[in-house]
Amino acid sequence: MNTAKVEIDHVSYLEERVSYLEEANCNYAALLDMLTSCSDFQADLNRDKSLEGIYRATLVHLGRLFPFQGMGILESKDDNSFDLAACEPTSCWNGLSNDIDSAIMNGTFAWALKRNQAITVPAVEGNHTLLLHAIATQTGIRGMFIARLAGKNRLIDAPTINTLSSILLTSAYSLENCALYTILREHSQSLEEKVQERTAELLTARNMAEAAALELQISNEQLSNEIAERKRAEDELIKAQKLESLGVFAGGIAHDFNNILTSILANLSFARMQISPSHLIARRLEECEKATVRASELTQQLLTFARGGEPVKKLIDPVAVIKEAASFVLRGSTVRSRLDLPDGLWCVEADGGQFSQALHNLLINAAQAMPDGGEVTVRGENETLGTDNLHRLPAGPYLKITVEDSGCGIPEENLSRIFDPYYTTKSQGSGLGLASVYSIAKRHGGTVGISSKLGEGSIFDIHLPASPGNQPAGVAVKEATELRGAGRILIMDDEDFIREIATEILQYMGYDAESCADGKEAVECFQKAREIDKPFACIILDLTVPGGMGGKEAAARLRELDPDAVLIVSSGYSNDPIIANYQNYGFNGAIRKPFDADTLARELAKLIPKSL
Amino acid sequence: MGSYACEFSERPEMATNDTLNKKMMERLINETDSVYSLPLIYERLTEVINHPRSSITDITRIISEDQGLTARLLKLANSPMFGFFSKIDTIDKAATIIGTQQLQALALAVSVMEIFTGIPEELVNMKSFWQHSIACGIIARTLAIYHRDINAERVFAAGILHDVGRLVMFTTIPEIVKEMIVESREEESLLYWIEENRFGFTHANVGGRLLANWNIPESIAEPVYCHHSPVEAKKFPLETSFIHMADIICKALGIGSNGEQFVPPLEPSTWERMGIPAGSLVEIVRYAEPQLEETLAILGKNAS
Repeated sequence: MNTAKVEIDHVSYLEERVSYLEEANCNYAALLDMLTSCSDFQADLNRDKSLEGIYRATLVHLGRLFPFQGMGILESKDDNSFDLAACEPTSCWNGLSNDIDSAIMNGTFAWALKRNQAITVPAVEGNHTLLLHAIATQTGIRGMFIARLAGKNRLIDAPTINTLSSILLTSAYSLENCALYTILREHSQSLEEKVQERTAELLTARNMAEAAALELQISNEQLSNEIAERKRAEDELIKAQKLESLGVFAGGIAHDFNNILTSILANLSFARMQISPSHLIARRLEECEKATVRASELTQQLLTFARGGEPVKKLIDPVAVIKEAASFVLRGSTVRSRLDLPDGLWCVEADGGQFSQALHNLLINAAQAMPDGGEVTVRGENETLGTDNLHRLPAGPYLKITVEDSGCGIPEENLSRIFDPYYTTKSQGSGLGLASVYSIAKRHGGTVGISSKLGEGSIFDIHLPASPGNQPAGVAVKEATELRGAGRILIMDDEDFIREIATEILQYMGYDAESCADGKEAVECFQKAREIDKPFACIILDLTVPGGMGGKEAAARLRELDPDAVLIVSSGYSNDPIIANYQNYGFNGAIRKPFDADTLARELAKLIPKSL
Repeated sequence: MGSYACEFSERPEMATNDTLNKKMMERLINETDSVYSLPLIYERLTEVINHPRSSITDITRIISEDQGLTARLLKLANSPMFGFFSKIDTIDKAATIIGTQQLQALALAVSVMEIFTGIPEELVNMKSFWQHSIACGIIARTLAIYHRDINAERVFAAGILHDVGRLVMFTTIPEIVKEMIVESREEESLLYWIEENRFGFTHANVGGRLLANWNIPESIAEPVYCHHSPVEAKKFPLETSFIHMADIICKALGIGSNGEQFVPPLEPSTWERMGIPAGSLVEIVRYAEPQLEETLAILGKNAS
């Protein structure tokens, strides 16, 4: 009986052992299966390079290991804090959060971190057990696994716990790899960014350098252009100064020369007056007189060239001037002239000297354009311009003179500059020729135009305001008797030979002539004459008196003394504004030197009433 | 507990006196086994811990049967070694806080220490012996914790038990041991070299074999078996390295005495395996030192 009982006990003990071992065996087999499937887990971990992906894979895998009520993974932050980062099922998020809070509060959490193994503690609230397991590698803590087990005092068997630890270790290494990978990637990215930044900086720097080089090149070019321009300006300045000094020199010579011519002309004309026109030498004297007039015109041109100035306009017959200019300029050259000057060409109100100077210059220009000879055509036309004409001139009658050559022509790009002062394409040119043509035309209220074809020739056309119907007074030799007058005349001139001839002419014509050398003397003479009650009927004042009172000041004094005095200004400088506008300076008339006897007599006759 | 076979690789030089040496080893183990046996409580604990359906209550019930063990485990759990923030006053709390496997390892260490009593004082001062063993256990455990090993208590147990083979020799062949100690002293040779020369095996091999015989997990038995020849550890080289290193540190620091006069040489590969910076060693020792005294007081009392 006893034996039997012992045997039964023995049998039941053995049965119990067998059942335990079977169960344990089952458990081990299941764990082995589970570990076998770890390759899948590893693949998941490797596939997902993100922390979240690793959390998810870990939770899924652990879910197969043990029937947890809920589980989650806390991420270990850089500041040593922990955040619930993943949760399975998601519905247990709040519950787990509460569990975590209480585990942190009562120190279990810190303990679990320290122990680095599975810690199972009864939950503070609720009927479950909390499992905490640090997710850590040898180098550091990567997170914390937290899970709920059903029941207050639940225990997980050792093999399962060890499997759990092993899975979490794998997970920890994956998390570490992931973090390292991220750091590496960030490093390489920042490195790449730095490289790109540097490359961009270098590129910018290069672009800037290139731009700077370009700018430098441009400013260099500008500078060299400016230098060239400056050089040109300097050259022009030198040229202008040369011309100016030449002009002053020429002006000085012309003035003196003019005075001499005045004497010659006055003497010639005086001589001619004293003989009969039929006299044998009368014609010789006339020729001499004409040549002297031409010489005088030449000095006028010199003076115009030197000073420019207001034209002294008188009615001029263009035909004579054109003919004279053409023969004068082209004489001796290989260029022939063809003049197309129809009858009835209108006369112009012009300064004879300047008018002929303009023509001279155009003809010179045409001749120089044809160094191998050719033909220059000068055409005269009457033209009445309406308003809004192409020449932008006021409406009215104009004389159009066209000078056409068959020369080399002017390149189109130069056309706009040919009237610029000092612009020249000729090695010996002054650059003043066409410029003075332009200024003369302008001063006369006209204009000058150009059209040219390279290799075919150039056409210049001048428009000058015309005076239809008027004819200039001919240089008819009038009877000396017609020019006779009477009265006291005072003539002031610094040149004694002019004073002498003038006095002689005046006395010959019946005047009572007196002379003085400067303005001061003139005023004194005037006063003296008034005192003795023999006032002067007319006073002729030379404009320029070197070293003494000139005509202008003298006139002002005399005008003060006698507002009704008859004052005539005389000057070689026909371009002087006082000559052109003598009325404005208190004069009653003007005589241009050189004057001939006739001119002088005529002027006096005009101003002194016969009755006197 | 399932059938558990422990196969250790034999050293090449052992081949010469192969049979003789095997017989000697068998004799030592058998004699020890007949006198000392692991308390049943350890086996039962192992079973409960591994059982999927067991609860903490089951564990508590088993441990509570041994009042002495219970008291020591609780004292250990509250010692600076663990440094838990509040008092652990029950075994079930110790089980949850420290962990069942960890508790099991501690129970093993405590149990084995209780077995070996009555060893002649002339051979070895037991207090001094356990002092060395416990210090080795603590330092090995600290190395394991530093390494973030999951079950540092197992390393702790292995450390405490690493010289259990010496105890076997002291009890079974005290005269020979005496001779060998003298020889070691006279020849200024390491004791385990003399053992090696004499038997073809060392006390480490004997200890490991005994633990394996007692079905102690291989993670403890192998480190004990190989703690003087760590390159031979095939399954738990890391744990073996901890024991090897801790033994040398304890000898170098002169903590306790195990009969060995000299500091054993360091196997460089163990150092590499642990991957602990040399500078950290001081830190580790400094961390372990304060735990020594109290742990000794808890465990050493019954051993003396």
